Amino acid sequence: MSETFRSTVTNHDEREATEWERSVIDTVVSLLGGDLHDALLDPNMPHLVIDPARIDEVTEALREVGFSFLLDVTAVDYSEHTDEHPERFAVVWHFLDRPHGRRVRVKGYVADGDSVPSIASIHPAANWAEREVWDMMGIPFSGHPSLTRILMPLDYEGHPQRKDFPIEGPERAKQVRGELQGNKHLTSWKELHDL
Amino acid sequence: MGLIGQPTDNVILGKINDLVAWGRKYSLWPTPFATACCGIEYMSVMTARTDLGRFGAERQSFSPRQADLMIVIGTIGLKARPVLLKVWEQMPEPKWCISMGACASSGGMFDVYSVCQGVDEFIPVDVFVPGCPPRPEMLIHALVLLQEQIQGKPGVAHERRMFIRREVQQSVNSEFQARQAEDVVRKQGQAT
Repeated sequence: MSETFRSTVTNHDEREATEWERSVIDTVVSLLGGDLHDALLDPNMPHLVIDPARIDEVTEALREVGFSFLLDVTAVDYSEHTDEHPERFAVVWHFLDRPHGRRVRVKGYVADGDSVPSIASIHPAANWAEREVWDMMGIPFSGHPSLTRILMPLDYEGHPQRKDFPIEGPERAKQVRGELQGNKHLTSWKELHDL
Repeated sequence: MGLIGQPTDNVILGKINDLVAWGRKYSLWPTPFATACCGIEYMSVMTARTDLGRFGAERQSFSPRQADLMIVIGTIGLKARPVLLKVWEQMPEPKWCISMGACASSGGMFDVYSVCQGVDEFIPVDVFVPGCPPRPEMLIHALVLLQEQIQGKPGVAHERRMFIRREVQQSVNSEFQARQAEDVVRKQGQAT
């Protein structure tokens, strides 16, 4: 691997890694080898593209070198940019080294339906974040203590943040397109009172 | 009739319903179901500058069982819908509902999967207040309209209940007719 790295930010030149960025990349390289698909440098943090099946090992390794704080677990649906990305979804983890204020972004591509190891046993903060990713994007996390919906009602169908999910909701989208016959208000009234 | 003598100027004759309605309309106990920014506006309605107590709705009831007016204030999400219905059903009859603001009345700008598109989907609303958020004066106007309605003028909720009854009747009728038509076809098939 060369000493300079590209950036994910457009109009931003490639640059050399600083000392700590170099050490973080080396740590992950020595751990994963070929499972580290790409290493980039954004203006403020390293951006590592890995095989998501090994995120638990990466999390442990990063925690040992100081990244002991999980900032966020989230996901992106790239179904409208399939030419630029190898799979439909990407799960993104952000880690923080609090004493130094350093951040690392780790990203792994998953296909629709593939599961990702949960890191809730390492960082309890991942518990709700992974539930949110499951709820909104439909990416299952294996080994999660209770992978249920967190934002939407428990009996809700579908994963609303996917790009192919109609923003108004499936029922109202039909109404907007004129496919739904009858009084929608009346049906929901009756349904609710039958609960 | 048991009237003895002539009624004087000191006596008012009227229906007991009117008297009860008169009492009710000046002693509404509102229970606010505030979920969003309209709630701040509602608080200002209750303060000294625009005091809703002047119209009899002084006593805010934060327990729905001791209230007869529910003011739905703000965006109602999908998960809040059963909660709102439960609160509504705990209120004793007679009860009224004011839907305050664009979100409660129609979903407002949130035409999305997670927001209920108007609380009149599942509870009968007597007065809708438009605005994002409405001015305090608009809520006062809504309360005055509701008082007129309680005194006997037919209102939105009455119309809506009638509309729903009519719709249900129509759908039952059309279902019945369709089944009858099916029966006729079946009988013809059996005959041939």
